[in-house]
Amino acid sequence: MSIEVKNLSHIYMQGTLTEAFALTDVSFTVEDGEFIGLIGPTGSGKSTLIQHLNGLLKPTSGTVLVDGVDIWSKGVSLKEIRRKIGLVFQYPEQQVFEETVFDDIAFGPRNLGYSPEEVERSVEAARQVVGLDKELLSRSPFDLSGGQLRRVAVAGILAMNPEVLVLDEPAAGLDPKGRKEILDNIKKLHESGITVILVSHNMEDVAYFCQRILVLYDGTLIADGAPREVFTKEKLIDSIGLKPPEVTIVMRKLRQRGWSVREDVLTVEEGFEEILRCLGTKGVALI
Amino acid sequence: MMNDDAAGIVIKGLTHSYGLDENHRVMALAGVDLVIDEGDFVVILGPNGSGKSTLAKHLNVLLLPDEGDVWVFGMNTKDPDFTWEIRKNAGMVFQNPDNQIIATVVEEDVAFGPENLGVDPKEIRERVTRALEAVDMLEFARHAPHYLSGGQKQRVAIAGILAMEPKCIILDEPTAMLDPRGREEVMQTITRLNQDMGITVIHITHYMDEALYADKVVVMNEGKIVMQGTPRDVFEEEELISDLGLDVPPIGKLSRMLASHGVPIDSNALSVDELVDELCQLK
Ligand SMILES: Nc1ncnc2c1ncn2[C@@H]1O[C@H](COP(=O)(O)OP(=O)(O)OP(=O)(O)O)[C@@H](O)[C@H]1O
Ligand SMILES: Nc1ncnc2c1ncn2[C@@H]1O[C@H](COP(=O)(O)OP(=O)(O)OP(=O)(O)O)[C@@H](O)[C@H]1O
Ligand SMILES: [Mg+2]
Ligand SMILES: [Mg+2]
Repeated sequence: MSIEVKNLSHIYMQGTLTEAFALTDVSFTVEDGEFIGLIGPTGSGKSTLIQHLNGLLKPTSGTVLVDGVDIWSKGVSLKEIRRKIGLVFQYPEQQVFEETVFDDIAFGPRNLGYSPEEVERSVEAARQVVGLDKELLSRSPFDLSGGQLRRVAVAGILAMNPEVLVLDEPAAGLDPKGRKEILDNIKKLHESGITVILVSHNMEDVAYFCQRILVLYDGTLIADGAPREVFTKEKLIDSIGLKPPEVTIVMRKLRQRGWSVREDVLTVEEGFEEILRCLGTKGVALI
Repeated sequence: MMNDDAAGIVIKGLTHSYGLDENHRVMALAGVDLVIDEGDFVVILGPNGSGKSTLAKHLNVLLLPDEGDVWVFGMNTKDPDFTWEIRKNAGMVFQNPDNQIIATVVEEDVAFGPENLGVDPKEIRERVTRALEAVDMLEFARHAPHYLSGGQKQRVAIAGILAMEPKCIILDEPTAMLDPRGREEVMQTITRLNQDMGITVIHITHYMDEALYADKVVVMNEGKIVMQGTPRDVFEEEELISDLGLDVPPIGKLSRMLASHGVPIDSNALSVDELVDELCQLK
């Protein structure tokens, strides 16, 4: 499934004193099977943008095409679009409302007319992906810790088996192990064929998991490329208040101090290799 | 019920359980003992559900102990006569700044707390100015808070607490939704409040690198404190940290990998600058 965003603009409360230009002339295409990271400073328009992808928001101007069809044209079922393109909200409180955690995760599958067994299976599969304790299924979602609630919100969307998974800060508030597990599992889902769009302020995660990064700034798309390309645009990234992964910063500082290390290093493992290589050429003795 | 030893915060044998229905309760705090000195900067780490938010809520009397006691600047939270005085002295900042913004103009928002405390209007104006200065937001005094960036909103929320002139601020994941610069701004702001104004800071986070700002790191698991110490001490225990589902900050990991492969550097360099300095000393 491909999604094409064409000249998309969005103005909140147009014509009022408080109107806000959230997106201005944004265009890009998401190809089937991509794993895309969407980054940008607070207020840059990320949440606004992704809510256009499954028709939760209507463009002020411009179009969103899913498999070549304008989702706002006559005869298109937005319900069908939302089944295929699942969106997890930034604040889980916006999304949970049922009496128990189980019912909350089961809400989508039931709505899609799954049989009770299928519902059970989907809930269980989703529960495992997000690492939610089984015993929490019978609890009210309002009696959970912040990180537990986040997992419920993600599981509710996964349980509908979407073809495209759009996640707005899915790992915010998760402990490091939970964060890694959930993202590793999403990566596995991606490998099994689904398309993933990840909105995140965690540059380490984006650099590690995504194949392509889109950068929004003040409602405009200012960069689109592989993580290595984007994070080495030092001036651009700094000027909009983002930061590359810390390892990349180490490399930058080493270069400033005369080391000839590569700068396009994104992960701890790559940094390790690169520093060892450089120490080798400098002839530093290891102990 | 004043405590003789009027240290910052003293917690003894604290337990807390939440009732789910008549038959089921969740044990959220299972016997916590903790002393926080006045002027300390404490970071609390711990996996999801380990009891961090529950503990924080005891510090400004949003919750009361099942068993045990909590003294905040010598005042026992169980004594209803102190509730108001404790809340005045221990201000809370939560994860989502939108939930904390009340007014439509920044300075009115900041004035809300002291107004509630019945502070006189002239004094309120002074406090608002001081609080906004402290978080470096004075130039935004007349702006609408809802149109500020997340990092700026979070600083306004902190100013709102400061205007109440508390001796202690408790921050429950205030940086979870911020971009890298916003996160750094908030961390620098609270460091400054701690160092320049002597305010006691208790900061809860899942970002391990934020623990490096602390004098003392407290690690919770299953309703108990399982480790306490300086950031270096705590991250030295890599195995325990990772068994708890936590992590060493990325640079700490890199330092360790290098040291264990024979690079003669401190295996516990935790920040970018520490590691770069260590590496540049090599001959
Ligand atoms: N419902 C709304 N009404 C009016 N303005 C809004 C509304 N929602 C968002 N905005 C404004 O639109 C702009 C883009 O907001 P958006 O929530 O898309 O940003 P974001 O990139 O998701 O930020 P964050 O990283 O803080 O989540 C901001 O200036 C914001 O203040
Ligand atoms: N209102 C509530 N009713 C019932 N149980 C609750 C409630 N709030 C929290 N709990 C439970 O108490 C335990 C501790 O929760 P708490 O919110 O203190 O954890 P936390 O360490 O802040 O976690 P997180 O990192 O996810 O925010 C958890 O098992 C949680 O499910
Ligand atoms: Mg957003
Ligand atoms: Mg919490």
